[in-house]
Amino acid sequence: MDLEVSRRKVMECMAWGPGVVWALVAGIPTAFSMDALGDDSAGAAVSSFSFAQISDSHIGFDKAANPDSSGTFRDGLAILKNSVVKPSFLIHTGDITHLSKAEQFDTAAQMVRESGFETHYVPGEHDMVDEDNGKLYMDRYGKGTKGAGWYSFNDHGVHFIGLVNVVDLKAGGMGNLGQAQLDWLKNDLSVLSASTPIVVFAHIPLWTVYEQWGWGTQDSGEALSYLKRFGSVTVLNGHIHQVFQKVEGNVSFHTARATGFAQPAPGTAPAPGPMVVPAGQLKNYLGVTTVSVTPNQPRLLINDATLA
Amino acid sequence: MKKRFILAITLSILTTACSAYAQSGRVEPAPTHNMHMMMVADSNPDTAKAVKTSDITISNFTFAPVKISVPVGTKVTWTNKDDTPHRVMVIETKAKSAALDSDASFSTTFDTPGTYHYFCTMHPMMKGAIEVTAAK
Ligand SMILES: [Cu+2]
Repeated sequence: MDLEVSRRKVMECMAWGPGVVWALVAGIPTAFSMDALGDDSAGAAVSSFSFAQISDSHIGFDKAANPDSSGTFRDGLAILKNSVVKPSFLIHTGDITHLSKAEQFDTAAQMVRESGFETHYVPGEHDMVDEDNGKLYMDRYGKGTKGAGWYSFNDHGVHFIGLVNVVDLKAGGMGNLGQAQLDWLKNDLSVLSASTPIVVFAHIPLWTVYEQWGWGTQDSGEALSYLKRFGSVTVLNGHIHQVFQKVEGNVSFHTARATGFAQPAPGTAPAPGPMVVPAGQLKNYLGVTTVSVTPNQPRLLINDATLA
Repeated sequence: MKKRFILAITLSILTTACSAYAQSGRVEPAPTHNMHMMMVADSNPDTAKAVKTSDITISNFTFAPVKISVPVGTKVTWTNKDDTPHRVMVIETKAKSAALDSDASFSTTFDTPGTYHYFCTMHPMMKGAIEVTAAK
């Protein structure tokens, strides 16, 4: 299946999906180095599949920008569950809860359970503000992880890495990975061949989207330097509640919409934070993301669907 | 001055388990100390008047006023007026608020002169400073 066929298939989903509007990430430069991925045997290890990203559910948020964050999270899960090509699993890129309360974690977990999706998590800064600084998150999702909750796993020949850039933040700074995590990452990648497709996911963008609002990670450059030798790297983030993308060499950066509430575009408001949108428009601002992996296709196909 | 002396005694009685306030040197108020402080302020109108206070508002991801100068012994209160939480931490004393939901407040008292820096642990771009001046 080549990229064009995939796109056509996705376009068909418009007709069959439950009111899903597919905003295709098309037209991004597709130049990449084939020498890293030219090896047939390595490509054969990767099989076609798709997974989904859901982000910033902010369960517990009930203010004007979205009085029903639980309802919109459920809507997001339902869109993924009912999509024509059902994702193999979900990645939740953090801010599961709004205030790290036990009942908020419970509500989110219950809805994910009902959706039936296996789900991999990384925390957002809103998930680590219980009085024990993240204990509730770690009790629930920290099993088998290192440090503040980072980990990696393999699926369908793709190496997935969940990073945590929301703890131990430094005054005046942005997101932070820290030396221990960087050391772990370097080691984790060291055993992989350059042809292994890599998906890195973390809450705060691993590229600087807008420094004035802290929308970036201060030591992400070091992490990205370890990824340079790989032929296919996809970086998936949340936090900013809107879609942004950038391609740099073999690395595709992408941020997802939230299901919790909208946030202003960079610099269009005095500050980030929940944005009240015109009545009836909220679901145009919220959404979920699906990612399709195709063997020998270094650029993964990323689709952003709104909840509308 | 007399009222402040009474306050100091009250505090030292209430915080016998925590020596910080009884010492004249380094003061590192932990949340438990703050609780004591609020108990004093709330339960005893006479000593409460002796507590100097200063308010900082959090709005649009900004502390206002971003810099204040207060006399030693001032209880500083941060109140979150945003519709998303913030969490205040004073770097030098390690005093740390809970995640402050909308309209929630956090207070800590500065008992040693010096310059203090604080920030939001959730949005570390948010910073402020407090200059605590010696009593005259
Ligand atoms: Cu903040």
